[in-house]
Amino acid sequence: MTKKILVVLLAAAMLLLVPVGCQKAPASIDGEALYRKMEALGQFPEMIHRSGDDVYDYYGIDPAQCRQLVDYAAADGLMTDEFLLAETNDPAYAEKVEALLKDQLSSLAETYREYLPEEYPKISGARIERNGNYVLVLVGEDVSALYAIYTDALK
Amino acid sequence: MKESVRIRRKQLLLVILCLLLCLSCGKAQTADAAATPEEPAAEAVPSCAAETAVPSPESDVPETETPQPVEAPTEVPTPTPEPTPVPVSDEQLDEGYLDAWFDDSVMVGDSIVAGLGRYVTGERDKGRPCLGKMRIVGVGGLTLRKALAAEQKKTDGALVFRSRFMTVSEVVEETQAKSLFILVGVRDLESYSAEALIDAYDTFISIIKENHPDLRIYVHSLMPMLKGFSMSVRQTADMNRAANEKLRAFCEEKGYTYLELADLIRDEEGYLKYEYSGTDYSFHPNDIARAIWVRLLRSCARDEYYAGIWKPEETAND
Repeated sequence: MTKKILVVLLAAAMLLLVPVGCQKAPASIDGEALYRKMEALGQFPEMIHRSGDDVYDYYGIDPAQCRQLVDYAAADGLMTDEFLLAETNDPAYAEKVEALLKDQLSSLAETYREYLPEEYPKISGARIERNGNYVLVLVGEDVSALYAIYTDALK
Repeated sequence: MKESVRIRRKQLLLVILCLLLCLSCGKAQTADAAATPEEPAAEAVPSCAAETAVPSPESDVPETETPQPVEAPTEVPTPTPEPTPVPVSDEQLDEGYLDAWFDDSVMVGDSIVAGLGRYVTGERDKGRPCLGKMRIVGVGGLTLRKALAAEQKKTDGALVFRSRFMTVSEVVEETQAKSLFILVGVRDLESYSAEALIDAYDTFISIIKENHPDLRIYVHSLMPMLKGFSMSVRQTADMNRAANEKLRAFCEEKGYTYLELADLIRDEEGYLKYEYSGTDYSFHPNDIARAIWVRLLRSCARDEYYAGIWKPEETAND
């Protein structure tokens, strides 16, 4: 009887642990190519490309700690549309980048609530996500459509 | 006989010495002083510094003559003439010829400045030089009142730079800037009188200068508004002009450089020209006006170059 219980418990534990152990690392993502696919949807306004130095000044993300750092933002400074993909050198820095971005975008949303209320729904609906060493920021009219392209890239 | 020969020899020696003295007293030709630079021909690009005598790009800069060498040795060294600034045409200016002047500078302000930052980033990304390495830090909704409160440590920093809230003084420190450009205050006129605005500017800049005594300060005029928007916030073109006159006088008194941007983009009534307005139709300029703004900044670089305040090689050697 004890043996049977043990076997059942072991089997249950294996069933629970298998999905965890089988978590796949994200496929390698080319940030520029990903942005071009999202841009093709046509929802972004005219965008400007920010260099690594610009991103450092704006968000405090150190380009030296990233394998790639791709950032496009609305050319019109009043609009909040943005695509940012950071692939950090290690997961610890990815966690730090995620925290930096969440803080900044939340603060920006609060500013826009009174300053430019028409942009508030967009900025407050920003999607910030970390997968392994990747950190993604999406701000746009239809973030779910943009995000679907990202999840495809992760497969 | 011998005595007379001696006397003759002495006389001959004396004569030869006198001759040599006469030869060595020949006047050296001296270089003519450099000609006074002519007043500039009428230019399309406005100057940010009033009444700076500049060489006309069209005229020849007179050459200085090299002094002729004298045969006799002289203790006085030949003076080297001071180099005159090379005239910079508007075309060269627009191509970024003097953009190195901005390398050690930072601009701070409100959403108007944030918009310029995006414009400049876009230009640089397209491979077009634009204001050197100037850093541009603009925050939507920033007022002079907020910026001052932060400098006075009454609130957190009013600017966000490298993910931290910073005061203007802290941004200057962080960037090691030698020049600070400021554009803020257009919304303050809704709650401040012009006099109170100037007092606030005085306190604000004084605190920054205490922290950075050698910092060069450049203050922009307050932005004009589109007529429709200005009516809604009860800020007329006359109020804007009057405040800017006071701001100009304040800058002249304190030795700060005043940048007259507003007059370059006003319509006949004194409001922001419609064709220069951004899509929000309030007081944000569009890219056409931003190009005018960049030109104004570049003309400031040229004025300082002509005035001998800055040389391009100084930044290169830093």
